[in-house]
Amino acid sequence: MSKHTKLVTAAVALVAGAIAYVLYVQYALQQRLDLQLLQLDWTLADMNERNNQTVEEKLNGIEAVVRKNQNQPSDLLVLQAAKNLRSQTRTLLDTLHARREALWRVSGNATALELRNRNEADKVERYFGPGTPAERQLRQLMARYVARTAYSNDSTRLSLPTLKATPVVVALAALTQLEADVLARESRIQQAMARHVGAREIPSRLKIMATAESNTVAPGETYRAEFFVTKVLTIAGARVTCNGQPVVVGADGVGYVSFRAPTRPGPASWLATMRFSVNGRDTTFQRQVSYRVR
Amino acid sequence: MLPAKKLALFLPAATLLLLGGWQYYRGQVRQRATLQQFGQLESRLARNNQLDAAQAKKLLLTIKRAVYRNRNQARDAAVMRTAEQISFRTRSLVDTLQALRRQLSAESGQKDARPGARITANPAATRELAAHLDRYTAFIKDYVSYVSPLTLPPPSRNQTKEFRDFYFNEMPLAAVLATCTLLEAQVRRYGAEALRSNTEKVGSSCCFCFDRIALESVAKSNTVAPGAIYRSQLFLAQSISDVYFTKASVNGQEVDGLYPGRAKVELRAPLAQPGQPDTLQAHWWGAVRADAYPSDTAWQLSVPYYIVKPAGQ
Repeated sequence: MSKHTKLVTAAVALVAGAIAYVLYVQYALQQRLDLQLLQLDWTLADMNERNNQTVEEKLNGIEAVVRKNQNQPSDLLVLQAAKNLRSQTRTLLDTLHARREALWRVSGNATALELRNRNEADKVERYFGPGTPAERQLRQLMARYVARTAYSNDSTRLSLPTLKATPVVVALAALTQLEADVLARESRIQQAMARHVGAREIPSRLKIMATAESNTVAPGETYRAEFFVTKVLTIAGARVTCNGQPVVVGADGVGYVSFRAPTRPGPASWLATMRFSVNGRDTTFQRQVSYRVR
Repeated sequence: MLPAKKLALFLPAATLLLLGGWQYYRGQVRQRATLQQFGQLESRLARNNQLDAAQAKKLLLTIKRAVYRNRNQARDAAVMRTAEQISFRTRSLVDTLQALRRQLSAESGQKDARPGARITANPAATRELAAHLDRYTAFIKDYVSYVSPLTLPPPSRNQTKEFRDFYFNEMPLAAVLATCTLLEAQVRRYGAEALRSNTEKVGSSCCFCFDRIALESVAKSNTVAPGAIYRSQLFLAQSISDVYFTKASVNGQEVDGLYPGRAKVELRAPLAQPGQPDTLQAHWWGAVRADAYPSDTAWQLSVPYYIVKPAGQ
């Protein structure tokens, strides 16, 4: 062999080595990335499971509120909508889980405990890529789900992953991500629903108040009083009386009672009443308040 | 050299180059797809982290209220101290992770904005982070039954790498940022679980507070002189279940009795000075403080009273 040929062979070998090295580095990094993506995937899947549980509990909470409010017809409608949403979501999640298992199967990981074949992009595309029956079925299911569970003005878009030349790790993660979005959307809708059931909240404010045993005290004697913060409900149109006489109520919901005490010393009392109607029900509160004349 | 021989050498070499290049290209496409997915999963985890943070804050407040309502029994107070410790350590670790994430994203943002650009985190910072994570898992495993080390990379067949080498060495930025968010999610999960198991000890987890409503009358003075004016405030009151009061004070001095019920005021009126008028007006002022309603709040009032010499003196 000539010297020239030797040089060319060496150069080719060097280039081949360089290519092999670059490919190896790329491969090693890809391995790390795949493992880490799988880890992210598990973590998110675990969160999905917990969020699914939370949504389930929240539905029970809505049901309890509706029952406490004596099953008003309007509340029952909302509750039914919430229950429908839940069952539709469950069906969709079951489909997505089945799709995950199918992905494991076609990528030749069916019997493995861990995901060994992590690429298999061509198989993923052949079975689940754009235009395949599997993809069309999922697309229809999603469209139906979004249409059926539409509620007021929830404008979230659930987007279906396009599994085109997608490694199986990424495809699995995309399904988990879709599941997370579905659950987040359900949770948002559920919150809006929860606001529409149950008795209307009565406006209230916290006030500090004090009451003295007696506001006069002899020199050297002990003055006693109590004070506290209380929540005062402000009910528009409440009729307040003291011994049958109307009492003026301020904008803060507090009625100011004042009358001349009897001239005879001893224990005395007065009758307080408040009448109002909330949620169509008339309510009367009464209370006998005692005091001392001395 | 003969042309045939030249060709025989050139063809395999060219094929090798082409094949290698094709393989490399496909690898890059795969890597890009993987990295894109990293960003997607990370944003979902981050959203969950925010929800978890709000949840944890609420839970801690629930424990505090329950403990105060149980009149601060020693056992409960110990539970509350533990809860505060758990949330403090969780928050401090989360802060470390978020600071590292911000720092990494800022550093590489200046140099190179390509998503595939590889970075290596500062060894001192990652070593400190690993130590912090290990300290945290050692602490939290007393409260959570299923803790696994956070600094162990996922197991694999052909490579055993350490925490730092696996997550922070020559990694694309997107993956490193996702690692920070992932660790935050795991830490928050342990923290929340620990707080929850701790809450059950106070017995507040099944606390279902009915909001009682009652007509209340608060008289200025429960004793009035014959023929004098009696004054009272009359209103509909609801029991308070969502505020956690910390202390009550009279004229700046802390007083008891806030839980349950009402703070007590007891003041001894001074003995009459020579030449003092028959009626002397005096004041006291009271204050009640609350934590996190939604921020720290105080209510104050000033109440007049009269020091009156008994008749015939």
